[in-house]
Amino acid sequence: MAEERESMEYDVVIVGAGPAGLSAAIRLKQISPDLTIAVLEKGAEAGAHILSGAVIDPVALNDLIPDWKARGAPIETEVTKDEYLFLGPAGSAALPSFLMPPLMHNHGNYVVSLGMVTRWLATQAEELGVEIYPGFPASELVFDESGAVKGVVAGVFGVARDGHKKGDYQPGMELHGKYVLIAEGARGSLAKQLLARFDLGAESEPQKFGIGLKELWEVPQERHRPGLVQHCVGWPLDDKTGGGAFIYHWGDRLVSIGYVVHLNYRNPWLSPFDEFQRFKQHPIVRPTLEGGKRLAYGGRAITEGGLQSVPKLTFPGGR
Amino acid sequence: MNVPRIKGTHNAMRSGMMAAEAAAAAIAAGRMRDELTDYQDGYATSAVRKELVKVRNAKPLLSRFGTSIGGFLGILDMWTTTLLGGFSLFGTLKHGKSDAEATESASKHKKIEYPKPDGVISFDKSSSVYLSNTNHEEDQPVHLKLTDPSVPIRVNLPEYGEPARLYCPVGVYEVLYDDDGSNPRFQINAQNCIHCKTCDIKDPSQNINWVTPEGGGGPNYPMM
Repeated sequence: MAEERESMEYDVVIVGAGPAGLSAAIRLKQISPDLTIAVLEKGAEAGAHILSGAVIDPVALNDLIPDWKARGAPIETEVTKDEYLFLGPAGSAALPSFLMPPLMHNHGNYVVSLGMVTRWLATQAEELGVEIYPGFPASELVFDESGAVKGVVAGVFGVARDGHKKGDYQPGMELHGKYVLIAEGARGSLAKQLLARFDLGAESEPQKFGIGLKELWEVPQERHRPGLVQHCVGWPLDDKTGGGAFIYHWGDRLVSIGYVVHLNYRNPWLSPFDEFQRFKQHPIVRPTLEGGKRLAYGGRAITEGGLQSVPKLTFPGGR
Repeated sequence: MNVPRIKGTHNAMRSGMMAAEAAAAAIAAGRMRDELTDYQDGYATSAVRKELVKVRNAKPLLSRFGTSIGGFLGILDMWTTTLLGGFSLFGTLKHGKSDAEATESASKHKKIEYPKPDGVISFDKSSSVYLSNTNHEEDQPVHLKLTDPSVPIRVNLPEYGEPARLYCPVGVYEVLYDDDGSNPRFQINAQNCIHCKTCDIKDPSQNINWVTPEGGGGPNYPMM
């Protein structure tokens, strides 16, 4: 049964305050400053749920906010050295970078915390008048009589574990838009419903994923090589299991280290977490971390299907 | 995401901007709630798609031929697509199975014995969860919904060793037993969830549905 809820009308409702959702919000306001835009975010603040390597190519940001440097974007560590390593249990071999096609080179890219970049993007959006609602997950889609997406439900609070409504129960709000943009990131829960309802994947291959795990370390000064970017494949995964590691030196003695395992692995006994922990003991990795301190840990699925898996991108009422 | 480049942020931003441009134009033309076909058409000629065309076979080659040979062929193929305007000797390879379907029976594989963490460089899951700053109000419905609650113990445990215990990076899923090793029960520690969505993707029975928990729940990553 649909519940009586208050509703609010916007020109555009965006689900997800990540790089995609915020870029959409900023672009909308740049084109048409009078548009009313709401961005819903399930995290306690914009950026709280963002986890990425990350080496970013600033090409899209140059287009969106050309003066990002002057506006204080937290994008400071330029890539200075790019290494590709193939690991065995005890040793490693570097792949010469001239073998890599130009698209693989990291020149002109930056090592960042994507969470910090996202927080900064949120301030840029708010300056333009975008309304961002952190702590408000879009939990349900709302359809109009014709079956088009009309909006989302957000901000349902106070339901107990057994389903009964607690004293502080809030039914949430309906946010309606002329268009609704879904920008939840990999395997979004509303996107999953839309894919099924509108059969958006009919013409494409199944989406493929990886799981990315990451730790942030503070390392001793003498181990820190700002701008060094290393990518490793091979050990500890066997040759049939896809994945690899990244090690990025940036900021003030910070190292972002992470491991990606492609989720099409066959052996159900595999534990991506333990592969990552084991990887850090490799003689080429361990010395970087020794004497350092682990500051943060997290993980996120990432889409890997590429061209073949891009579904139909639009549905009645949005994209 | 561009898999060999392990980069997706710039394309996420570009697609957000393209959707915005299509929506702004539609609203300016007095339209609402129809399909943003301009966005779909724009994607066909976009920088996003051009980039994905060049690397389209990298991931399928890895899946088919493994890391060494597949990686080598992938590099070769990216040179070909780069130098020959998107042409590839492989055409466009298919991915085939979904990730859930790729999981094979536990009896076909050896159990992997992982080394114990040393607490200096390598760690256990519980100390790791702590560093994700994840938190959920405990008295709320479990946001990891089982379509059929009997599947983990009835199907997944005998067939796959219930891999949720292993693929979940924060120990949300456990199989508990009585002291004598009988009576397996499936437990979901939803409060540990870091919203990675791996369970929704990898569960071989496609029986776990990740839905949004109460607002503000989930990890609090400071600089990730």
